[in-house]
Amino acid sequence: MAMWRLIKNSVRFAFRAKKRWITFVVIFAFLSAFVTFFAGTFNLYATDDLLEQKGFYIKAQNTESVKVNASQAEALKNLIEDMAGIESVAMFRFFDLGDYIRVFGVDPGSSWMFKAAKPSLIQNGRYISKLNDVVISTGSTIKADLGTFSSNVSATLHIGEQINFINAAETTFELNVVGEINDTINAPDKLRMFISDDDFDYLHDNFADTTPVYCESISVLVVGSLYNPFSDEIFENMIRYDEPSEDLFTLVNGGSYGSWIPPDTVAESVKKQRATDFLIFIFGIVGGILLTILYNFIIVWFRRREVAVLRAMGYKKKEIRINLMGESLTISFVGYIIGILAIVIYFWIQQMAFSNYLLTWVTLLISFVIVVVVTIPGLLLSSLSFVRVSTVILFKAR
Amino acid sequence: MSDVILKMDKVTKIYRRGRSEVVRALDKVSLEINPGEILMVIGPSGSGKTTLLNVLSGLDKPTNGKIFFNTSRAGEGFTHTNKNESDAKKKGKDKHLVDITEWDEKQLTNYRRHNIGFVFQAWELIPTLKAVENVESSLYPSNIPSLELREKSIKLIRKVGLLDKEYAYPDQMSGGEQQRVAICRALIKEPRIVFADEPTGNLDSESGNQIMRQMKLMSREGAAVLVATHNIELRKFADRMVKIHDGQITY
Ligand SMILES: Nc1ncnc2c1ncn2[C@@H]1O[C@H](COP(=O)(O)OP(=O)(O)OP(=O)(O)O)[C@@H](O)[C@H]1O
Ligand SMILES: [Mg+2]
Repeated sequence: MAMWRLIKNSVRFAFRAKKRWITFVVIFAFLSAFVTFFAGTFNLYATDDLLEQKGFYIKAQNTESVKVNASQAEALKNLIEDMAGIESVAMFRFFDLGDYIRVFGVDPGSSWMFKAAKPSLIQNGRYISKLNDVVISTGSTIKADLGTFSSNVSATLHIGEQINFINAAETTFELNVVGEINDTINAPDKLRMFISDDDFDYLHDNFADTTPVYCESISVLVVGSLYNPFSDEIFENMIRYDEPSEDLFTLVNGGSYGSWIPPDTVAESVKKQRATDFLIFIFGIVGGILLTILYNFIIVWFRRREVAVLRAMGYKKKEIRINLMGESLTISFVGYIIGILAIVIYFWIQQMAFSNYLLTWVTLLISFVIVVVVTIPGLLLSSLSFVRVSTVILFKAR
Repeated sequence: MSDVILKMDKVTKIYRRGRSEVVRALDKVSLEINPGEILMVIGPSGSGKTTLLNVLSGLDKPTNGKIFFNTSRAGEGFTHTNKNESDAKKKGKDKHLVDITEWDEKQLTNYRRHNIGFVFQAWELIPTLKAVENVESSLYPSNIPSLELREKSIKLIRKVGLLDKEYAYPDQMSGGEQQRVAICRALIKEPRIVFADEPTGNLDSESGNQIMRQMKLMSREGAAVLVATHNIELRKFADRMVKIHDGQITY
């Protein structure tokens, strides 16, 4: 009972040291927003990897003019997933329109398409929700090398602008840019478009077949542990399965699924970027831990006279720690909530897609663990500092 | 002999400052403290008053000498492992007198928790706690039910003449009022010994006298009250008085 009263009071009284409390809540809110952003960056990165960097691009059939259908895709997915060492398979339907445009058909309701690709991608604006919506890579330029479309836009595309395709029969097809994805790392010179499945078919049937260069494919990706930045598993797997002795190689080259395009090797720049992101993330974590520890020491410093009084009164170390804990925990918890709310509000103001990479459970859990849970070792460490608080200070006048 | 609550036996405390300078803050001090009395230790600044209180309350360890605590007069809930008990019996000493200088931090904490109350010169109320809560904080770690604790605390605050101040924060009270709250905080756990270091040091003489009268009440309830001060005026409140100078006691 005594313990419970101490815990309750430590939380209750924590709110009363307003100035100190608010200051630290703000600091912790920044910390949690920062950590969440970077945890989210990893989520984004992993998804992006799946889309472009790695994968076998498999033609549906040996003949170039036939599209992949759902049952083919599903059968292939099942076959690959049954293979040893393969965790899961992500598939996208896409075709290349000339050298510079890659069109993805996305249908979140589909049983075989990689669903995580959808919510994770939007950096700006919203996801496609109806026909003629298109999501493109941020700042991508249109290179009109095909003669199959004209655009009313300048060099770069942005939300609110339109892309017009005109074919030989003078049929016009218009797409409205509703969202952007950040593509600067993976496809700097390629315009990637994400459109609905129906639009995909329409564009393919009426425009693509007049172009000299296109292939219709699905991409098969072998997924490793997405969240472990130390692991090269994804990349390794790609390369490993690209061997004639491997089942997957045999399967995709067996004729029924057509030939394949070997996986891209990891671009050095991508590896670098990944390392940088990871470093920043580690800085965030280490910084967070240091901050909590520092913060706990500061709190003990601010409250040293109080700690001294409690020691003189005969509070046990554990009881003093509980007394300090209320403030630390409420501050980091409230700071965390405010940080997340700030992100939500920011996204809302920027009219960005909500259900995007930042606000997934994994991201929130990671930042929660970092911000709130590391408070506890911070607290334990801070007890090092309060045992050094000399009770003798009390006998000195202020 | 069995009536003392604390007994100092040739206690010396030496502080070292730097390599060579040695300060004898207490020099072979022997002193007995009895329950129910106000013992006043009067001495000029730097004479060792605070050091005396520190070693008696177990906040600091003496360099030499023994300090005996009479466990038969200990407060409720006090526990100790008296490894010298059988020893003491053999030598024909009082088995209840236990040397606190041999205790570790844990045991000293237990000693203060159940026996000692403090009143400080600068009050040292916790600024984020209201008056009642400050008083209650003494007993938050105990098992007394919260409602009962609140009642007890309010009663005490009224008793020292603080009406309508129960829910005031320390910075909303005058120095004298804060010191009275501090006295309640020491009193609520019914301490056996109260240590007060310059309790009136930051107060005008009128509030100072009021505080000393409260101290008197405290001692009437059975506590030994040890007041350290350089203010000779306060001696009228003392039951007994010792002078301290350069770490030495004179009667
Ligand atoms: N931690 C310490 N380190 C070194 N010397 C100390 C320490 N504490 C006290 N002293 C010295 O011990 C002597 C006694 O100090 P003490 O604080 O007990 O005096 P005091 O009687 O309480 O004085 P005051 O009335 O000014 O509070 C002084 O000379 C002081 O400088
Ligand atoms: Mg002093």
